[in-house]
Amino acid sequence: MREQNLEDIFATARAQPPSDSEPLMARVLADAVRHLPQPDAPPRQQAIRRKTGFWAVITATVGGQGVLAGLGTAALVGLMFGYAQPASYSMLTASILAEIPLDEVELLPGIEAILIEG
Amino acid sequence: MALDALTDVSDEALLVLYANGDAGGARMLTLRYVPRVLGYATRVLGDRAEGEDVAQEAMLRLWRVAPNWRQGEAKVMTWLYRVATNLCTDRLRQRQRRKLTALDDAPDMADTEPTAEATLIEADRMKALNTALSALPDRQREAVVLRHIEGFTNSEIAAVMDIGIEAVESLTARGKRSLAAMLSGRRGDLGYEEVG
Repeated sequence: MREQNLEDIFATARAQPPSDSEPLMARVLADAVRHLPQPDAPPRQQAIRRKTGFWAVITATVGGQGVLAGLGTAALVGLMFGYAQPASYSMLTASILAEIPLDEVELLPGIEAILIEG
Repeated sequence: MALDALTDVSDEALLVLYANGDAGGARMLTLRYVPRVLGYATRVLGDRAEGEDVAQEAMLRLWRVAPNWRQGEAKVMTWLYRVATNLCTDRLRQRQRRKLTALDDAPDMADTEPTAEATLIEADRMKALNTALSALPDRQREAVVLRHIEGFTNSEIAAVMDIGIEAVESLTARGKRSLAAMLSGRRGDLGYEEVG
């Protein structure tokens, strides 16, 4: 068969009207509707697991880990002041009023005083 | 959205419309591609019912992939034909495994009643073409149908069949030669007998 004859047959095939595919198209469209994406649907809620341990409850109560650390530090400093008995305020005011030279004021006693007092 | 308004919209934009929940995009894509993919799959498989199954499955996969479609990576048409080709290849392999061949039962693609000699000859030509196509090796048949009936370029066929352009050229050339050899004995029946 000549090349041109074969090309004629191909051209005839290309020109064939599309065969009736209405029922198929109906099935395809039904599939499309069934799988139609719903981009506006609200996202599925994720269950949030809350921590319920002792430290988690304490931390949440005081307002966070930073606040808890600050409270702990303040408590330690308070304990230290109470134990070491810093110099009385009168000495401080006297030093401010220049009754006592500043370099003689001992706001915090040395380690020797703590050791002697037990 | 109304179908008339979507006539000039690109395939990729239609798919985005569908992915955004507009069924109009799916309607236009269905109108554009179902008859073509059906014709292609039917020719490759030699069976109308199987061609319908392939066309429906290929379109279903398109609907499923729509929300994750990455624009610019592939053309919808090439993607659809690629899926259809893979589905056809799977079916042809299953058929081979079952030792079922439909070579003697070529489909009658032209489903119209012949009313004149020209129509009769045209119907004969289509029947002869489908019979000859059915006798080709699977890959040659896919390449020949894509090139000479669906009108794809060699690079498009390469993308659809996942092969190189040289392989496409080889498949189509060998397929065409085989078709010509098979049809040469029927030139008279097909209205190509030389006079004189």
